Amino acid sequence: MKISVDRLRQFVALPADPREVRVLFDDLGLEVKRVHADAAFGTCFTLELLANRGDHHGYAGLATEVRGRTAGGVCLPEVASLVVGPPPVELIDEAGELLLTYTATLLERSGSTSELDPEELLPILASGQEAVSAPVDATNVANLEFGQPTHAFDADCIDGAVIIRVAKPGEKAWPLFAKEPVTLPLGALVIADRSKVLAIAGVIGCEESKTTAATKRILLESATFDPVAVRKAARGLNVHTDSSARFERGGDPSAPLVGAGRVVHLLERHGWKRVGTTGVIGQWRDPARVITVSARALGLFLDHPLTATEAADRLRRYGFAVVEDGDALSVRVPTHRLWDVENFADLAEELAKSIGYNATAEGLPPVAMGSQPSASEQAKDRVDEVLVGNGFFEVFTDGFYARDVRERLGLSEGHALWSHVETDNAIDRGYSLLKNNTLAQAVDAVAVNLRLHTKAIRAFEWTRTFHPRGEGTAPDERKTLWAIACGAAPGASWAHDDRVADVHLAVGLVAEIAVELGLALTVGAPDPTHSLASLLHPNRQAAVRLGDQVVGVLGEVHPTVLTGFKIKRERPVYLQLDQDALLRAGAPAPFVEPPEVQVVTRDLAFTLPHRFAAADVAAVLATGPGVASVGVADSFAHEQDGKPVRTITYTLAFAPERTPTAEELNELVASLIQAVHERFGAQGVSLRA
Amino acid sequence: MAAATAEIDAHKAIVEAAAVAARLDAEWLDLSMPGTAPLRGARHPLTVVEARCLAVLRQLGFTVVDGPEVETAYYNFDALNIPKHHPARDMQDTFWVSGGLLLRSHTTTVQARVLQSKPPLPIRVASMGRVYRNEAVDATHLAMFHQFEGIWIDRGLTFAHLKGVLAFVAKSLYGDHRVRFKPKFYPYTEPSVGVDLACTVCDTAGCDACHGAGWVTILGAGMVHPNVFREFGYDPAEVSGIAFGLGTARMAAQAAGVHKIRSLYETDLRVHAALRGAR
Repeated sequence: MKISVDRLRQFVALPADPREVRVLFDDLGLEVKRVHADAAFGTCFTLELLANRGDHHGYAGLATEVRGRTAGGVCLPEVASLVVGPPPVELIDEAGELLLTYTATLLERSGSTSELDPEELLPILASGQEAVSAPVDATNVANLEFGQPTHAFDADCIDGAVIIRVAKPGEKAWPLFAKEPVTLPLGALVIADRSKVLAIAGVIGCEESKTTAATKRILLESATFDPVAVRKAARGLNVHTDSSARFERGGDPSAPLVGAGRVVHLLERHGWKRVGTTGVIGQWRDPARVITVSARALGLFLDHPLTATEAADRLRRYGFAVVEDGDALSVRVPTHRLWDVENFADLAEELAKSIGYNATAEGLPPVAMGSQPSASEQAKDRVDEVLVGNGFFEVFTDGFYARDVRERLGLSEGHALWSHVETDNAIDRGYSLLKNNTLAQAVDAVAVNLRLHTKAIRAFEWTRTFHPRGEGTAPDERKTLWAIACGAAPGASWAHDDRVADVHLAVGLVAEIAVELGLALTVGAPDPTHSLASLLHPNRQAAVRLGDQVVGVLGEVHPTVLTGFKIKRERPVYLQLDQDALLRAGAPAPFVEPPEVQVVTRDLAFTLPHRFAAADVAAVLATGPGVASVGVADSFAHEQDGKPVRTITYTLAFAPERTPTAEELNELVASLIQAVHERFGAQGVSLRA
Repeated sequence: MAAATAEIDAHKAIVEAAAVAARLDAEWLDLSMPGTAPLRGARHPLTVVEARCLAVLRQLGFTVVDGPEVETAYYNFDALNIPKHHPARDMQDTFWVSGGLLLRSHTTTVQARVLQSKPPLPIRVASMGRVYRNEAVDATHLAMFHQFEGIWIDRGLTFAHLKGVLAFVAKSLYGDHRVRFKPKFYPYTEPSVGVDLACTVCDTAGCDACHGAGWVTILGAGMVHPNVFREFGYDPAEVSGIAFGLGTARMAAQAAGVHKIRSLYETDLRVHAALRGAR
């Protein structure tokens, strides 16, 4: 809402300096989004009004809010005193409780008419609207001044009675400014005559009954409608007007005569005159809501010294009628606040605003003890540290994606990842499916960065996937950590430290995470039932297990998946871990004192046949007496007898109780070689000469 | 003899020094070359901001709770005093998902679940995470972003306590900048409060950074609405509560000097590398 500060000064006293007015407005919750210095209208404010305060949608309401703080008076514009009596046309209420109050006043031209004066037009011109004609302008001015929407019909376009009713199924109306008639939303409240819809109640008038330069008689409507009915109609039509904004927040059912009176006053100054009396119908009766509160309790709540008299005085400034009885206040809620004032807290808010939110006391409640991060929060931090230390950047991806992700992943119906939780009303097709996997977005992140010529790609995310569990049942939300790496490690390529990320990086990450969390995570045989099994390279994937439970998967992304994301050459490696399993309390490894004797090392190279796991040989070597550790020093792929083999060089560290002689050590090594041959010799494992 | 020995030693020293000098000269390295330490990645700026907020709240005894992202309308709206067709539902264009469920539009849903579980008083919990709005994405609007909320329920909490907690949080996060409180409307709190921080660039004079306002809103808060208490079986005459929410996405953007919040949600790692240095 855009207002003229100078115009508002005619309603209520304001500080002379517009900057102080702005501070006051902000302090009252009338947030000034923009200040305009207008040559014609002086300082104007664009206000962001509170969503629950329909009464702020007019100068009078704003003035009342200011008065609540500053005391003093509010000066309202002149209003014609309307005489209620037989309606000028027959009024029929078929809307029941949806119609609160409806008034109809007939005016007709009386000799020559004129447009409104510039001074009268100021509220609408300052708001950015244009003057149209005296009848239309008068209704707009009244709305801006009093926050009471009114509407002028060409009375000679009305066919018989005026009926307030719910739209019939499939019924059409031609709203003002629309190119053609539109079908009305189900349940919309309309103002109609015997043959057509005259207006969508509280939202907008219609073309067929609008006033024109030729209009001789006006039927002036001033009413209040059920807020929800107006809201439904406005949303259904996607038409949002000043009137609907006002009514949706709850109109003042006692205000229609005031609003109509203001319009009549303006038009009577410009050549129009009333005909007959004003008809009033409607279901609304003032509930006379009274809230009884203790002034002392209000004072305690605000931590502000507050006598009953002061509290009553402050509330009266907002229009509340207050009866004091010692500490007890009986507070009668005015009709313009029936929609938002119901209880103690509402009155406390009024008083806080009157005193000033920044003028009341503040203090921390007593706090006995702070708190520490939970074990899972600490565990998450440690995992972050592993990943960040290895060059990974945390990212956040959407909780959903487009339907074509199935195609990009190469999924077919029946695949474990085919079924998704779907959004019903997404305004963008990119939001169609709640994600049931994180691989798609991880690979997409790689594709994005490759397009941007980023060579070292390392990203991770803590997120959730959603898995349907049946209609009407909340989906299974699984918390997941994923990480993806592609290309060289981030850093200086000139030092030739540019080994491309491969599955061994993922294996190493799991090992580091296991150490950090004290979890016995192992990387081993793939789990063919895992939902990602078919989306990773069949011979370059592994399952991550905690005990017997599969808690993750790692592997190189399957080439067909990469094709779906237009990745041609690169081989991203992907890691996914179940967050809940990962962040469960681990048991840190017990400290083992390093041996005091000099560690002796020996390298042993074994040639392993294709697909033979190096760890199996290492496991046998580790069983040797005095063997403290078995490491891998080198891996060399080559051919032997025309078959692909690998030669693995293991580094054995011996830490015996005493330093062995050379002979003893040779004997020990020979026994280990023998053990490996006995165990795996038949499978083709042999000592490399 | 002694003189000859001394002369030999002197020559020896000269020769050795020359040898060392020659070796050192040969070992010259170009230290203008880029360093070779492995480059670290970074946590997301949002995670960093959340950690800062949590550290502040932990001083007051808050713990973290979590909740589902797919919710019922009950927890997202009805239980929080947002009935059907309430104007506040317009403030949060909702993603509805199959089965009449929805993607939570705020993390206040977690607070509702906490209240429903009736833990012993005092309740001091923080919830954070992704929330969703069915909006077209542009520079400043996102269909998914992050929220951070806290709730403190106890007997005898007052409006003064609300202000005290908010001032403590603001000061802990932003230092000695001025803050001001202003009325706001949130359906689940009454009275509701907005907390503004004096613009760190212009100190209320008004500048481009604060769009001329002189103040930047950092917090939305309020006293828990009596209807919310009643919904979960609490007597609002006996129990009161403080609730507040921080726009962590905006905080992270401000801290890093990012003008378009959308940048925070991109997977372009050039952005994240730049953010690492900027925060």
